[in-house]
Amino acid sequence: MKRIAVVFLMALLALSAGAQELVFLHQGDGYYKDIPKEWKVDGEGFTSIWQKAIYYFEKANPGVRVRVMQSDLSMGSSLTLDVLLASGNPPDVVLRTGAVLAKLMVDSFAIQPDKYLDVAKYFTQSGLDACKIGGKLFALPTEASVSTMAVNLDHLAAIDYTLPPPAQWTTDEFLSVGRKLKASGKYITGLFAQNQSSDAWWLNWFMAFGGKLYANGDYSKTVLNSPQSVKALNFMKQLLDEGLALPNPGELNDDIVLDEWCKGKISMLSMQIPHTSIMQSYAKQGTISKEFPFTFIEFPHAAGQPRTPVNTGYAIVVGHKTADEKRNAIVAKLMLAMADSDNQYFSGMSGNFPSSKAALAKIAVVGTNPYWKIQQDSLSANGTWDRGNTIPQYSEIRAQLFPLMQEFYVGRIDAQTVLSRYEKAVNSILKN
Amino acid sequence: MKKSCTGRAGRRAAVLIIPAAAFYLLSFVIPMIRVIYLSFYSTNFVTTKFIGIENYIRIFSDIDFIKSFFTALVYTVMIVPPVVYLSYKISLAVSSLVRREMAIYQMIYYLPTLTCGIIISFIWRWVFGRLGLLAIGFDSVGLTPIAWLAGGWTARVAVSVAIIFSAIGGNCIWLCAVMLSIPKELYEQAQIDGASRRQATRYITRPLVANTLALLAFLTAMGTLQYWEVIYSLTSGGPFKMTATPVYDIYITAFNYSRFGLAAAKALVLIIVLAALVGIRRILERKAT
Repeated sequence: MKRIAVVFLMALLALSAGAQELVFLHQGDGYYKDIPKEWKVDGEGFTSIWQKAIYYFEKANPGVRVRVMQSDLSMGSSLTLDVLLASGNPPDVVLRTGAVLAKLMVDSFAIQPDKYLDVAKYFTQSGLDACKIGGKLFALPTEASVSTMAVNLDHLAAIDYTLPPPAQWTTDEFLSVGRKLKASGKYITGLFAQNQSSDAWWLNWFMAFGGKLYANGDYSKTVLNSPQSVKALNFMKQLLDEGLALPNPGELNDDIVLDEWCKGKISMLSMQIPHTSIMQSYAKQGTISKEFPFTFIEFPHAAGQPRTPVNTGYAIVVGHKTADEKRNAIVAKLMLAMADSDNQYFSGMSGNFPSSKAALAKIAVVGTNPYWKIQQDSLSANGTWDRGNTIPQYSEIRAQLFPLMQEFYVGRIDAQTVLSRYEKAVNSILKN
Repeated sequence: MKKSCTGRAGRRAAVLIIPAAAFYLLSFVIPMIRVIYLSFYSTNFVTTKFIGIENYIRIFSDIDFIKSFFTALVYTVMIVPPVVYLSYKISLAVSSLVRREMAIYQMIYYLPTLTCGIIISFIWRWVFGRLGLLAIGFDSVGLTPIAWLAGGWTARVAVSVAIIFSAIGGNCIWLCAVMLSIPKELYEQAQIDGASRRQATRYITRPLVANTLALLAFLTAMGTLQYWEVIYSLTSGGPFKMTATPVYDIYITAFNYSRFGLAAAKALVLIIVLAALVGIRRILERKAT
């Protein structure tokens, strides 16, 4: 009996040793509307969309096992990923915001999935373009998050105001509405600078005045230091000085201002559509008595400027390349399974922009989030602005502005000093 | 009489030391060698390039890293005296209690020391935050609340208070142990000679715990260079990078900026500074004795 048990254990060991293991590192489950808490497939129960996708992948690829790990996300940290890289055991497939993974998108590390897959069959061209550096495809796209102004309609009704058409939605109009809202006891918006998280939500103000981070895809230097950016900064200061924005932005972060919007304390905030689901949670918890009606509108633009480009960013999937071509082919398939999963569908139904053709087709059939069209129209009309998502030093660069904004908001430095110091710091980073 | 380290006893001792030595090798020596090696490279663990001493040269122009040492000095001034004073006073009171009561109070004072820095920060955010206890208190008496975490010096005060709160407990344990080890006969003798309780404390307790107090002050001061948990979650190093310590700066350089070579170089510079401080203390100690 003992001998049989030993033989059985050895066989089990041999079998598991023969199974190929791939590691998938992801950034956590999405907080999307209507995403099931549990799926039942073939008698198996899944509580995570990734578990379900992996089940199907393993079924289609016998002999391959996928081990799932979750990333630390705090303050743009890539701690989990870095630890794995440092140990010499990088994950085979990693899913994360594109900007954080930009450093992996090099020939020495990343698989070029178009060598193993017909990628155009599965993904939109704009999604694939977001995963290219120097014309080479180094990743697969998932959904794009799009941020425009979410507006509390109850606040506007209280001051008897109707949002103008986008072409007339100017920064002067924004100020005028802000003053009326202040008289009614509300802040029109929130600025925040405690850390770099969600900085794109207020970087939009630079774009509103015609400022840019980079010019024409030239990432050798920043072009933020410009007269337009000075105007943008002075506008943000004006919002604070007039009491139209939440005070003390130095101690506010994205979580706090989002919380204040969901609780009905500020009227307008740049955010993604899925974030509005937090208000629904608050209503269920009794934090607010009921959900309030809201809509989305593009960012206002300064007089004389074209309509403000929209802030977008893709989450992407990168695969680790090895010398084993057979393994690379399997990794490419896992990349596809993770990138083109149900996550894109639920994300799209919640208001993000899928890159998966299958998800888009399904959404077109069952209908989509009502605010999705507003953002789609803004995207089509205004285009997007370049955040430099493919720069490997992206995380370091974005950490340069918020300490300067903290000093600016309390009047320690002026707008030009902010921009000069930022330009010096960023150009130094880009050179090294 | 010194015992020989050779022979059977020596071999036995060597075998017994092996686990500790192995642990020391794996957890300190090997990582240290790796850090020294990394400091001569520019690496994000995807692309790696040998750059010699460029990282060390860069440190001298890294204003934020240099500023973090000044911040640590500020924390030394703001944290060490209150920690030492409060630890001493609390230990005096606690060490005079009966054993059972003493154990209860020691546990109460030690709990914050055991609590992780992130939780400490959350607690103090409820006190110093924009909607925190202090803001509510100020507002309730008609005063304008102070935005503690929005101002550079006020944020330093908030961080200091959070650290003082968690540092006292450990010091109290040490000081209580030292106070309890003072022979009771000395106090009895002093009482017979007509000394009051205050005089006994001043002329017996204080001199005998002076060395321990000095050591605790020194260790607390060394600690100011290394605080980062509370800063990470309470202030994110700001505002204006005025609350960041050297270890916080090193953490951000490594795990936010992915500049591991530069972070390794900064870590080595910090180790050298700490070693220098220890060396200075030893010299001063020798001179004093």
